[in-house]
Amino acid sequence: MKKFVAFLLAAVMLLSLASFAHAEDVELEFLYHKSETDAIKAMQTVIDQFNAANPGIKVNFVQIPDAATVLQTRATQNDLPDMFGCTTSTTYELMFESGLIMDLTGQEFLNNIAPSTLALSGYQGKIYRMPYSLSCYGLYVRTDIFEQQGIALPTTWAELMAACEKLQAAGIYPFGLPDKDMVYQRMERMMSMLSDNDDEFKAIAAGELDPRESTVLKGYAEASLDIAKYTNPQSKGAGYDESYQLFLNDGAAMTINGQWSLGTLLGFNPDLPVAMIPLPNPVDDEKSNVIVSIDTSFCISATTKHPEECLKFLAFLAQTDTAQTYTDIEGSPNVIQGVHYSVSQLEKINEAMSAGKTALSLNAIWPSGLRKALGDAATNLILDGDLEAFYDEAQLTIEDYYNN
Amino acid sequence: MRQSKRNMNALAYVILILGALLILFPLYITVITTFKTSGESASSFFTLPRSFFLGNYETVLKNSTLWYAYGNTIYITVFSLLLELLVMPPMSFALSRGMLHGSKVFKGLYFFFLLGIFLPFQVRMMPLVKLLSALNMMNPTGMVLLYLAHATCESMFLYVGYLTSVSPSLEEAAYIDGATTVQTFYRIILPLMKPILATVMIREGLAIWNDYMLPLLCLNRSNTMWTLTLFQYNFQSEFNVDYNLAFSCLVIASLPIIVLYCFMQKQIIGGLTNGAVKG
Amino acid sequence: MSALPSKPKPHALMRREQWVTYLLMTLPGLILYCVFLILPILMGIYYSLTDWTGIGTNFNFIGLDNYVKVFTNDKRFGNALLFNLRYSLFLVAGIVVIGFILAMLLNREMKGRSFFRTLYFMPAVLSMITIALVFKQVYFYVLPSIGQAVGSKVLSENIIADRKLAIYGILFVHLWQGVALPTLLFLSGLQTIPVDLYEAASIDGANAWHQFKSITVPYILPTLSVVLVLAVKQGLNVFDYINAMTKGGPGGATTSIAMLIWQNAWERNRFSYAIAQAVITGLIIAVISFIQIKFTNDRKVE
Repeated sequence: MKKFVAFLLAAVMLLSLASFAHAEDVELEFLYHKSETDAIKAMQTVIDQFNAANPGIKVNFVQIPDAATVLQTRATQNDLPDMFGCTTSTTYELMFESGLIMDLTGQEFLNNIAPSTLALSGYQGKIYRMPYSLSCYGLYVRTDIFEQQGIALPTTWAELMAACEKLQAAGIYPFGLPDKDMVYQRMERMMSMLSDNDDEFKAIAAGELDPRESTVLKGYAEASLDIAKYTNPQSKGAGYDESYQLFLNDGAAMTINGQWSLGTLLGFNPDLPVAMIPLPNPVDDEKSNVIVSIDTSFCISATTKHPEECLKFLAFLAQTDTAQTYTDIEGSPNVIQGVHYSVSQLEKINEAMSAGKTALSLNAIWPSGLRKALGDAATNLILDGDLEAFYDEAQLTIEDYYNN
Repeated sequence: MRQSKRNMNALAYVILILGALLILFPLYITVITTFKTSGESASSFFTLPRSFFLGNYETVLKNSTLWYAYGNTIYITVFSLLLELLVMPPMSFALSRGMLHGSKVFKGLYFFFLLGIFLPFQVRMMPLVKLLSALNMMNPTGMVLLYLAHATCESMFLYVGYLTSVSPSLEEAAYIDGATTVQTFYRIILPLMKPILATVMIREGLAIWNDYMLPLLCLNRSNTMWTLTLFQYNFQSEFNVDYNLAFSCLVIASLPIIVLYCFMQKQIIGGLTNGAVKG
Repeated sequence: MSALPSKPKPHALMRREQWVTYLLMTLPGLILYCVFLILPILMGIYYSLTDWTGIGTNFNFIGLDNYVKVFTNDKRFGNALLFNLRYSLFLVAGIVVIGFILAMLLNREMKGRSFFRTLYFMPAVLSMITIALVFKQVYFYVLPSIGQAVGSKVLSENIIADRKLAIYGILFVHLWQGVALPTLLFLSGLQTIPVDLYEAASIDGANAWHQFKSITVPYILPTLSVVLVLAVKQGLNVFDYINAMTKGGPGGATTSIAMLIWQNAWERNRFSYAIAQAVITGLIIAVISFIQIKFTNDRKVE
């Protein structure tokens, strides 16, 4: 027993010694917000490249579960990491507003970013985050099943419904969806396709608009019921993983999700015959847009002791070849100019995006937390099919989130 | 009489075996998943692995963070428990005996300590992290103090609850023989507390070993400070669960405790029986 | 009955040396407790009187507004409270009944006892989130196929996808893991009963039920009291199991108070409001527990 304790103490001491190596470099803490294996690998690769090319600077890559929670806690203590990655949400705007984040406006490396995306990243006329990569949301199709059944890839809502009808008749469930706790995401993305602002919600909150008259709520609710008719009933209990399994194991011919799922799906089966295409717009066929969101942006803390070195790192990330390396590994569309993005399964998505057929996710402008709360109403709608109850619950939720 | 006893034993076996199956099934899934590739567990989650694939364990064991996490977790758990063993039993003894003597001070202190049990963690979570950061204690040693402070509520509650059922007649005899309070405590009371000491240590030890939230909030600066839970949950984030790696981590992280418990089971239960108090 | 652990008569005078020693023994714990628990709690209560979002350093003092809002303008809080009360009721009953029965069984002289004792303790060792992963798979794949096989309509669908049944799906996992430690507590409580009491009772001709009622129960009461308080607290504070199993769904059906607090604090940037909700919850738990401690203490003296 004594020997064991001595061994432990020795081990602990060794460990604490090990963490004091490389003391002479300028060390920068970089907290990464993504948890997907490919994304981590991509980030690690470019950080290693930067560290190798810049002796004297060491970027420490910190990747942790629940990074958003960690970041928020550290924001409360005014103790943000030197640099961090983030998605798009109103929470980060609060950080910009509180002066916790360095103003990047006018930095030269920003010229390397697609101007349209950069314009979307501003906050009150200033740039606090460097947008880096997008996520896109759409329809996943098992191309082998569609071929067997002689169905063409749908481009309109009517075609989609016809395809569902045909699949159902052939004894195949059309959709396998993560409806246990991810309805909110699909709801938010579909609503983003129906409108590019939240004026209707503001009007509902102010009591000026009946939710039954709202094109966004109505358009979504009716489309959601259409989809529900053709959904594998197991979806009700499925999270992301189970919905992938349905899609992989012939439990469904389609699923609706973001491009981030592709890596996981191919991880299970590298030869999966799959294509991701734009989700048809249920109301307006002309607007069957890819729903995009700025999924990765980089920020620098306003209180970092090494602003120069941090800017140097962002400038490095903004180089076309760095971004190309990152994209090739991570697998999502990049907004740095000159980066080629070619994933064969996402060909149709790419075509639509190059043609400017995109819609921006509304989560960036909704009050924080609204989408999850409204998602409860959307889940209940799928479970009960009760439109009236949905409008009432949606109204209460919108009033609560806009007025409090 | 004999017959009925045999029937009772048979019934006990039936219930225990049914319960054992209920416990073993999820454990079975956990273990077989660690020996499958992700493709294999996707197509057949519940069947035995076709071949014993060791790649998951290899991946986990090769990850250098695991060893930091092991070191930190052992360090935090062992020192928290040692300090707790030093601080908590005397304190609980003092509170319980002080109350027994009808002292209002100790009764007040007891209820003051109880307050900490009831207020949800969320009330103090953020301020706590703020405080720790201000004290420059966002490291494993800070965690040791934190867990020790946490133990003041629930462990105290368990110890005092037990001590009230230990008759004070023994200590009184010691006092009459001229022993001091400290001597009495260490010679007479502490040995009697064995069963509850074992129970509380197990309870606290497991809570610390498996805690996620505090390490997440306090030890996120660098993965050299991680604990095993942080390492483990890294493979099972909200949108991306790698069952094979996650479960392999779970097995690797839990194995030492299971082994330890198996070895100490006799002593723990023995401790329980030795402590039996005559009424 | 004189065999009960008798409460000694209070000493007329506690010796001064004793009093000082007791105080010194309490001191280290007291200091730690004040610094790491009471101080943060006070800070938390202070934040609950402001409009702090949880980010940055700007906030205004707004008095009791948050507390008023919880009671007057928050239907979700009321629903969550009802959910928690229901959940706690089942959880406490489950922990006490199952834990006690298991402890009685594991306390019997029988072959394989130490094997069972080890096995029944295993669930407590494993990390909760990983266990939830396994059970989600079981609920998704195994249970529905069993349900279909036996022709039960209720069981043939995933129970955590059903608003009425999801609570039981979560409770099962919670009990699966949460019963182990109370069982151990009961087991150690059972050891405090002198064996000769049972022998004497048998000779007196008392049957098993009578022995149970007049010997086992009185001796186990202090343990029961402890187990009850800790179980009530777990039930009213439940977060992990729900977050891992249903995230409060389907459609908000399993949103507990702690889930709500979490959502307000982290997803909605209403930090001060979340703390106000937490303080109110704490008061509710404290009231229930004190009543219950008093109740069991009174019974103990009988």
